[in-house]
Amino acid sequence: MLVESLSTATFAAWRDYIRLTATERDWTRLPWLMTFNAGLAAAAKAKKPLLLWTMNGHPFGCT
Amino acid sequence: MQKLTKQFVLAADEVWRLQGGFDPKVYRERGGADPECIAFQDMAGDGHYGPGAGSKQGIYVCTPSGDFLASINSSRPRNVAKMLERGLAKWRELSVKAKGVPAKSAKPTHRFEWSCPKDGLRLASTLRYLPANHDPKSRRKTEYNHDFLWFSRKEARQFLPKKASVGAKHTLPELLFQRISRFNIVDAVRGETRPFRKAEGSITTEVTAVQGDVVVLRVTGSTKAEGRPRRPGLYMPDGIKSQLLGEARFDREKGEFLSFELIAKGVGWMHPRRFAGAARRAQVRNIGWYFTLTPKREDGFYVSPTHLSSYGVPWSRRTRR
Repeated sequence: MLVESLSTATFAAWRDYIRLTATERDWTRLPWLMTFNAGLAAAAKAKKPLLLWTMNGHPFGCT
Repeated sequence: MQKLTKQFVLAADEVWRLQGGFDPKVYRERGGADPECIAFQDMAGDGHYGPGAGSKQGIYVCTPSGDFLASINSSRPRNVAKMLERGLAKWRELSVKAKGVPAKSAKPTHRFEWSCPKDGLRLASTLRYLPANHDPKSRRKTEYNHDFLWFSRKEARQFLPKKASVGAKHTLPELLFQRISRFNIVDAVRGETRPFRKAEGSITTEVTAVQGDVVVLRVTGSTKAEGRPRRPGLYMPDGIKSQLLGEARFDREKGEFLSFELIAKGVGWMHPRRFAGAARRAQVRNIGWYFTLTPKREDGFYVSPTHLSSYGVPWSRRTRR
């Protein structure tokens, strides 16, 4: 079953199953900066507070 | 929530490096002095987990100078929104001058992302549990995770046969095979895990078409890896085996991949054991990994693969930009 179910014929279906849906990607469309330092610098320039989201593993990578 | 977040500059980062490991105090006693890490530790020490040892993960609100305003570790939108409101209320109390004061120095002295092979092959992976009935039309399982997989320019070339003619086959060098199967074909769907110590199998590419400078490759292979985690309590299956299938297009003139799609479809198994203090029954999980080119970023900053420090190649240990 493992072999038969991944083939050229089923490739697109499995790709669409695994990769993120538009809804799952929503949060990535916000203008995130990728480091704490970049966030502090941009916050100073914009005169805005910084919202820092920090996880075990980068939130845009493997957490 | 989106209206609320517009009042902030948004940043995301990896906490373990920022907090200097398990205990920020030990980090400093051992000479740790990265300004970005110190700035975070000073700020997060006033946050929800306090200044002691242990993970400081969560969502923080701070001033541009790095002064703490509010924080929480929650995935509940309502709780996060309340925390953001608290942070904004404290922000409004500050003087105009205080709001624009930048951090004294938060420039990092090292980040793994500086090792990024800008002219190499940078793959992004998504992994997700698959349905037990092996039917891709089944309802999508909602847990997923991401990771990355990097190859230098020279390594990227090693996906191609020496002679790029239709029908030519090529086995991926062992170093690259091990990198894919040990570090990325792992069960990190529910969170970071350890790499396997060794994997068996192979990955083969075959030229299916040559269109001018562009070589089209079919990628096939199989992997099998077994081994228990060295750190007790960390979730990791006893083994994973997978089948791989994909297609890639390489431009010989530019020396880069124009497209790359690869699926690994596999199964992970875990024997009965005690995990996190609880008895666990034997488990079998179907897992899928989808690899594709990482979209180009304007700022040129690419989040690093989780296990980059274990790649064992000189370019992955670059310490300067």
